[in-house]
Amino acid sequence: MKEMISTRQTAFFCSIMLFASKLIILPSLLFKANGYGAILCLGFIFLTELLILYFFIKLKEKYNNNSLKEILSMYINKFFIKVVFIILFIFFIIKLDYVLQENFHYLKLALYDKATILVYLICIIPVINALVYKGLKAFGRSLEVFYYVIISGIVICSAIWISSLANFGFNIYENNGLIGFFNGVYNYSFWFCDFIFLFIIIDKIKIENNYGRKLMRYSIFSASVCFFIFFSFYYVYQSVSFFQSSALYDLIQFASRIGYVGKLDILALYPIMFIMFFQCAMFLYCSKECYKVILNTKNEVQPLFFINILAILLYYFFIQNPDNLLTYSTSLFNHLGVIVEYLLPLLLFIFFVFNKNKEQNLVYKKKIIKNYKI
Amino acid sequence: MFLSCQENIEYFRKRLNDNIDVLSKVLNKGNKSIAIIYIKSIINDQLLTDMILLPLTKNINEISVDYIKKNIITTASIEKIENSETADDEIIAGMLAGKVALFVDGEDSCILIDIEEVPIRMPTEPPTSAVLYGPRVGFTENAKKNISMLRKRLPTDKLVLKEFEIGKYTKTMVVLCYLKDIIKPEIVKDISKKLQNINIDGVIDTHYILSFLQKGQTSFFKQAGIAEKPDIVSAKMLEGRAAIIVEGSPVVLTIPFMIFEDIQNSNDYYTNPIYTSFIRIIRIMGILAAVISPGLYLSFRLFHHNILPLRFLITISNSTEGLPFTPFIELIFILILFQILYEVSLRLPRYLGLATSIVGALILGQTGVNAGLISPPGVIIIAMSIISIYIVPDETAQLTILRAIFLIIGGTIGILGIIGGMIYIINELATMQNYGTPYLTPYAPRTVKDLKDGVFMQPIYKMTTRPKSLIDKNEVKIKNERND
Repeated sequence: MKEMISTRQTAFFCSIMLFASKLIILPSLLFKANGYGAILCLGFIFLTELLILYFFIKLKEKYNNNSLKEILSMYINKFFIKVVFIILFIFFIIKLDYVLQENFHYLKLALYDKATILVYLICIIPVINALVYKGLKAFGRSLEVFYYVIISGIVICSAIWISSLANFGFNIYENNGLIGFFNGVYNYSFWFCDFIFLFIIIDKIKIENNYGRKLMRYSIFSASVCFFIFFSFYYVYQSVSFFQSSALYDLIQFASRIGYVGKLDILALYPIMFIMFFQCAMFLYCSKECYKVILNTKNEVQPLFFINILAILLYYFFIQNPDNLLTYSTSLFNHLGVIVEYLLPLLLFIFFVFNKNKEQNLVYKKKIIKNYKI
Repeated sequence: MFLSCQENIEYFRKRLNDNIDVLSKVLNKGNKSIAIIYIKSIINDQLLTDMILLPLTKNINEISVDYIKKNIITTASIEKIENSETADDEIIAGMLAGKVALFVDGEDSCILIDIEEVPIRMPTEPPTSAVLYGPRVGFTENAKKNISMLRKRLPTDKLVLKEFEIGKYTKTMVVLCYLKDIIKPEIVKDISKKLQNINIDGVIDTHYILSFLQKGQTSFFKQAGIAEKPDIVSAKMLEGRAAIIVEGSPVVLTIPFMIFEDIQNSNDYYTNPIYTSFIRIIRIMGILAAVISPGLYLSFRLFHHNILPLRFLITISNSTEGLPFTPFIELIFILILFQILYEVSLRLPRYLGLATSIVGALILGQTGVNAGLISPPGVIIIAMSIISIYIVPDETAQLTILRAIFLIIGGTIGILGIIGGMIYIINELATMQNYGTPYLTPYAPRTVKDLKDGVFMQPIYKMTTRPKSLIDKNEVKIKNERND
C-alpha cells in the first residue's frame, strides 16, 4: 500500500520548501543582479511558482492516484520518461548538495567558528536519511510537529524588523532595467523550483476537503513572508545589500535589541536549521524516488546508499568551495533550474491540454483491464 | 481422587509437599467420614468455622457431597468437582486459590468452597497520581478489589471482563476490561491474542505483561498507559481504550496509548480549562527543559557563545573561571552525582532521607561550588533538568536517557546536533502506531476533533465526541447542549 500524506502535510511541505534557501544568500545575489528591482524578480518568480502550483493542483485532481511516471507514460515512451527522471535526479541531488553547502557556510558564519565539514555532515546525514527511510508518512508527521515552531521563529523575526524599518528607504527605480530583471530571474533560477517535489510525490497525496485552497493558502503565506523579508532586507541595508551574505541573520543582528529582551540571534538561526533538515530530506527523498524509476527498483536502502555516496563525492569535488557554489549556480545549474522549473511543468501542461484523446484511450484501456480482472 | 477420605488426605497433602500450612480435618458422621483439606495461610479462619465446620458438626440427614452442597454449606462460592482425568489438578488449583476441598467417604467427587483471604492493603491515594481536587482512591494489589472499584464506576452491562491465567507457576489472573459498545473489536482481538500467547514462568507485576503487548520488542518509548486510579481507568475506557488488570499489582495498563496522554493529568479535568491549558504548556516546557537544557547550555558554552547576550556571557565566564574540568566533564560529573543522589534517596528509609538531602545539597553541591570543582550555573541547569523530569512522572525513564543523549550531542556537535536529534526522535515517534492509533495523535496527524483535549483544553461540555483516533463507532459522548 502506498504511503499517503494528508493535504495539510502537503501544504506544510509547500510552505517550508518555499522558504528554503531563500533567506540566506539569495537576497544579496538578487540585489547584485538587479538592485532594488530584485524585489520585482522575486515577485515574478513567486507568481510563476504559484501558477505552477495551481497547475499541479489541477493535474492532481485529474490523475488522482497516478504517479508522475504513470502520467508521463500516457504521452511519451519509456526512454523519454527515463530521460525526464534522470534530469530530475541530477537536479535534486545537486539541490541537496547546494542546500548543504549554503547552510554550512551560513552556520559557520553565525554559529560555529571552527566547525569542519565532517562534523557537519555527521550531524545532518543520519537524520535526513532516517527521515527518508522511515517513509513519507512519518516525514510528513514530523514536519507537522515542527511546522509552527519554524514559522513562529520566522514570523517573530519579521515582527522585530518592523520595529526597525523606520529610518531607511527603498527606491524601486534603482534597478538594472529589463536586462537586470531577466538576469535576476534566469541566473538565480536554481534557487527556486520549489514545487517540483510535488510532481514526484503526486501519487502520495490525499485529496481532502479544500485541497487546492489549503495548498495555495499556505504557499501564498510563505511567499508573502519571504517577500517581506526581502523587502526588509533591502530596506535596511539599501545599497550595501549585496554585501550581506546571510539575510535573515543580518537582519536580526541589525535589530538585535528590542526593549529589555536582549539578543535574539537564535530566533534567526533555529528556523533555518529546522528548514535545512526538512529540505535536505525532501531532496533526498525525491532523488531516491527518481533513482527507483530510473533503475526500476523497489529497494529502499540501495538508492539511499548510492545517493549518499554520490552526493558526498559531488560535494567534495565540486561544491565544497563557496566560490564554486556561485559560479556553477549562475552559469551552469541555472539552465538546469529553468528546465526543471519551467519546462517540465510546461511539458505536462501541453500534454494535459492538447493530448486528451490519448489519455482517454489509456483510461479506457485501464477500465477494460480492470473489468477483465474482475 | 479416591473413594476413601484418608487416602484423599494423604494424596493431596503429598501433592502439596506436606507443607506446614496444608491442614486437614476428618469429621466422623456415623459410618461415614467427611474430610476437609485446605491451605491455612490463604483462607479466612472465621469463615472456615462459621461456614463449614459448624454446619458440618450439626445433625445431617444424608451424608453425601450433593446433599452437603445443596443443604448444609450455604454459600454461592461453591463448586462440585466430578472425578475425571483433570479433577486432581483442578482440586489442587482450587486449594491454591484459597478454596477448601471437601470429600465424603465412598464418593469419587468433591466440593470446593471459596473462603480465600489474603492480606491486602486498603485503597489509598497513589503517590504518582495525587490530585488537589477529585477522587483520591487508588487501586490495590488485589485484582478482585480493583475490578469492584471499576464496576462501581461503570455499572453497565456493556462492561466486559475477560480473564486470562498467565504464568506457569504463578497462575496470575490477568483481566482484560473494556466497554464493548465503544472499543474497536480489532483492539480486543489483538490484545487477547497477545495475552493468550504469553508463555512465561511467572507474572509478578503489570510490567511483565507490558513487555509482551508492545510492538517491536526493543521499543524505547512506552506503549501503554499506566494508571493507578479507577477514575482515570474508567475515563480512558469511556474513550475507547482497553484496561488490563493484573493480580498482585496496583498498576493498570490502558491500551491504545498516545504520547500526549502523559501530558494530561486527571487533575486537569477537575479544574478550570484555561488553567489546565496553561499548565499543559508548562508541562511541555518542563519536558524540553528536562531533556535539552543541559545539552543546550553546554552547546552555548562550547560552541555558540557569540549568540549569548554579553552580560549573560560575562556572568557565566566569571562563575566558571578556574574550574579544573572542561564544561562537558563538569556537567557529566554533576549529572551523575545528582542521579546517584536520586537513586539513593529512593531506596533509603525515610528517616535517612533528611541526611541524604543535607549531604547532597549542602556538602556535595555547596562545597563543590566553593571548592571550585563545579560551577553554580552547571548545578542550576542540572538541578532544573532533574526536577523538570518529574513534571511527567510516567516518562521519567525515557526522559532521563534522552537527557543524557542530548547532553552528549550538545557537548560534541552543538545546537545543530540538538535540532537534528529532536527531528530524529519526533520522526521515530511519528512512525509508531499503537494498536492502529498514531503515537503522536492528535497533533501528527492532526485530528481536529481530538484537539479539544489537546494542549489548549476545551471545557468538558464541549468535548462532545470520543477521540476519533481511537474509535470507529459510537462517536458521540455528550448529546445534550448546554442551556445558557
